[in-house]
Amino acid sequence: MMPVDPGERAAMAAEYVIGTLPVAELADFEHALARDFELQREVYYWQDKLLPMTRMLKPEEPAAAVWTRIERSVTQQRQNASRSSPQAPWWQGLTFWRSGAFAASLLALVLAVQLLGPGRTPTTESARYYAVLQSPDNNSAGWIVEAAAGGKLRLIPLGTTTVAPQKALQFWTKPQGASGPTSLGLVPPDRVTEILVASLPALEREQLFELTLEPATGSPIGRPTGPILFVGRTVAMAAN
Amino acid sequence: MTTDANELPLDFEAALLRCAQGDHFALRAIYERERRWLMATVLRLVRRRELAEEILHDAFLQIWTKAGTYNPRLGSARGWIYTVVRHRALNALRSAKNSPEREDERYDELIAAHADWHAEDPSAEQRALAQCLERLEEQRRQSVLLAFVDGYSHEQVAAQLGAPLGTVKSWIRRGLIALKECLS
Repeated sequence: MMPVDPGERAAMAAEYVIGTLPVAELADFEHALARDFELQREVYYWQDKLLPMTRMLKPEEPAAAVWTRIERSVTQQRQNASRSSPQAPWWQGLTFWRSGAFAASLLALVLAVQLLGPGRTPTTESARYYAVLQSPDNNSAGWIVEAAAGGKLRLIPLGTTTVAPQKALQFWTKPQGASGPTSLGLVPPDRVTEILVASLPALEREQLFELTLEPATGSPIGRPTGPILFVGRTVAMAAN
Repeated sequence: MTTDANELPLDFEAALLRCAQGDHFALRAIYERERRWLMATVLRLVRRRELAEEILHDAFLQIWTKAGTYNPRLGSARGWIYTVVRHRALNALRSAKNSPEREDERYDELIAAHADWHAEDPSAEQRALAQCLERLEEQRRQSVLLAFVDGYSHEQVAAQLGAPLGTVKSWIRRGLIALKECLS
């Protein structure tokens, strides 16, 4: 069982990074880590703070064969992956987001966001983008993405997305012309997530954003493996 | 294989994100820049060259497959990479009969030598960490270093320092809390 006390949880994150978290507590911790932003923040804090210690040791040269083996394994793994999923990736064949229903609800929601957004007046120099993420099943809107160039992206839930146990929501984006989606990390199903626009591969109109259902620790292969729960593309809004 | 290109600074964050998109070259770039330091870290943990190389291989496969879970807004890609690699090594240490023979570990010189830490020019972060480690109480510092650098479990630290398990647990925990206070 994970403690509830934030100090205890932070201490566990530190011990997780240095490696003294008892094996018996590891599974629970990793399960919690996959869905708890605060824990993730602690883990990233410690791994960065302790990083200089890795420079205390005298460097050692691994055998040249190590890279050859890594390369072989990576290639093999990729071949296995493409054999088991022969279909074209979802982002190449997707058409539902072009539907009229989508466009109409997008406009309505964008207007709603603009009217309701409390005091978030866009600065004149920054382009703003919105996307409504809809369920591919019934076109219902579940999330809104709003982002200002050079600022923050906000992923706003319109309700609570139900996530099965041992699963997590992973947020992805794919600019037009990119070869595949980029992960923006796991996100909580019921809260606003903020991301620095600087950490996105790009921010432009018609950029795809989506949420997929993934294992609790995220997709193991760096691209979506689970069903798309919500997806949408950005529109640019004039400042003001 | 050390070429000049490999000495140029690498944008690890971008490289890791490119790994998530299936770019082999990005993985290779990370390997070329970091392999000697990663090898040193793993070798220190498991003490056997062959096992260390096996772990390096497995860890890089893991970096490749898990790159998509790295979150650039929370921290550096190198920090993330070292956690993957260290955990892989610790996993091997804890699970199998891989526990190496230990001699008495001496850290004083390790820390004192921070002036010539094997970086060309110790960064502000390196200096800060070294100073904060020096400021820790002796036993707390020993415990944290035995755990982090040598991968000792609570039990192994207790055996090494001849202290009760509960005491060692609190040395480590308090040591980390004090370290965080000092670093912030």
